[in-house]
Amino acid sequence: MCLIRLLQTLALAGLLGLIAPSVQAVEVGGIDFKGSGFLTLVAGSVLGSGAAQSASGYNCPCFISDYAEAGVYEKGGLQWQPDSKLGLQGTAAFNDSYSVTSQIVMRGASSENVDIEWLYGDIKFNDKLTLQVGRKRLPLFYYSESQDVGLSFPWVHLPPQLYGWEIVNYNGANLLYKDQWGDWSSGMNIFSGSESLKNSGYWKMYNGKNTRTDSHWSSILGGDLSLNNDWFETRLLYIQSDIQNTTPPALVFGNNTRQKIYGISFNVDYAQWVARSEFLYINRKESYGGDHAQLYGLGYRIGKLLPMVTYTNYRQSVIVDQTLAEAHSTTSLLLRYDLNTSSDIKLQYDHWQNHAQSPFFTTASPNTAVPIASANLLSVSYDKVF
Amino acid sequence: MFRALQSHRLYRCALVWLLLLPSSLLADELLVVTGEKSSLTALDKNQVRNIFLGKVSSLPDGSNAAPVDQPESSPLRDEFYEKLTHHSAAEAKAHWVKLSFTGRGAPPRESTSSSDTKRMVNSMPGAIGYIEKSELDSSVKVVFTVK
Repeated sequence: MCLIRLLQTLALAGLLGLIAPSVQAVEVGGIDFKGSGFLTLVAGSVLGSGAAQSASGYNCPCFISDYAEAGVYEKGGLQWQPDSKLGLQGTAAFNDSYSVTSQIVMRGASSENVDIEWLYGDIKFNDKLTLQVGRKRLPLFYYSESQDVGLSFPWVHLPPQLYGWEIVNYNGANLLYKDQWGDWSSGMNIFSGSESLKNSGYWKMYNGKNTRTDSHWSSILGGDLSLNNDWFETRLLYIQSDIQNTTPPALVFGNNTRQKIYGISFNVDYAQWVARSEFLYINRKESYGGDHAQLYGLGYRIGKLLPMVTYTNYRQSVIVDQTLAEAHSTTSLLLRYDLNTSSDIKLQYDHWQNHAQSPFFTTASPNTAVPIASANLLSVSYDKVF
Repeated sequence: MFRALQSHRLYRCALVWLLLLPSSLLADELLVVTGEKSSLTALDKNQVRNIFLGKVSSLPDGSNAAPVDQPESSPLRDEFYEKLTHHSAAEAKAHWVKLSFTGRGAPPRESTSSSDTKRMVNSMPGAIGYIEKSELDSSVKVVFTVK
């Protein structure tokens, strides 16, 4: 009951931020409540004049923009559901050391009304060390934790070849540490927990739009380290966990199988140049094999305008038969314009290309299915934080 | 006639050069300031940058850092981030948005003007802000000059 009341109060604090931007903080009974939020509105359309064909229950050619939420742009007109979302965040600070934060997100792609993406308590030991306990985003990649907040990253949607995974949250604890070593500033995060996801959006794209698959990552243990020096930043990541799916898909995680995730990213913000790169390897040799993904992005700032080109690639390794392996890439052209420091508009063209030997995105028999070769998406977005 | 023409050309030439000059060269110098009673004496560029981007939370003396931004509409804010961080003010805000919605930090407080910045750095321990040189007075102490 107390938890429900706290959630309601925190959500209300976020709502206050939405309807009255000037009233974002209020003190009640010695507790400071702060509210904030974010909004992303996206309209996108799959381009091309060919006839649509059904694959996994979707009208294709189609473009997967958000694997975790089954955010898919299908053939046939303008769509807003896959990437549009509204988030509210509320924080109750009891003093300088203790606080509780909740973040709820309403999204067009989700069948649920509201998702609780963050709900955690914060214990600040000092200016360098903080313990957090509760539900959080899993820090898989550079922008994973802020994946719902469009203003925090350059693109309309995060590059799906890298950011598309079945589990993106965890329940557990993490320890944050930040410090300065000479000219380098550093941020370290060590975390542990688990996540059980009912009716995974990710597996609908493989098993069928109307199927239900539950995913379970347990014994999650990982850490990330960020190092920053003026115009250069690098980030290292390691995560290990056990995986289990209740309804095994074609490439099976029948019983608990171990995975090890390795990631590294390099970012440059020098003068007008903006460069982003990320590299991923997942060792899943106890199940099907492994996953490899890379991202390369280069942009040049012209005042408030950022033109940027991005290439992301995903390739799977399958031990038993490599012809079953999934492989695809996306090339994106982006124009971002900052309306002010709290809002932007973006225009993005994505070209998705299938490189696999076997059909991707279909549940039909491999002998009769027609491969979906490519898809083009044009999308425009408006992002705002308040 | 010839002399008048020459003078006119010189005037036009000077006007063109003036228009071509980067606006930052024409702007007032930016000063990073703290309260007059603060024990802080000087910061280097890296320290100021790291404090205003949330890379560190404390000042060199170990006390809690409380950065103060100019209002979003202020051109000083654009100039400050451009010169100090290789980011525009909008990119710096995007960076803070990434931290504040992921439990990794709270963005700088915002003043309403340079006068308000001077008031805030004197009313909060560990507070540092930035103002234009023409706003400098004895109520604040300069710890870094942004060039």
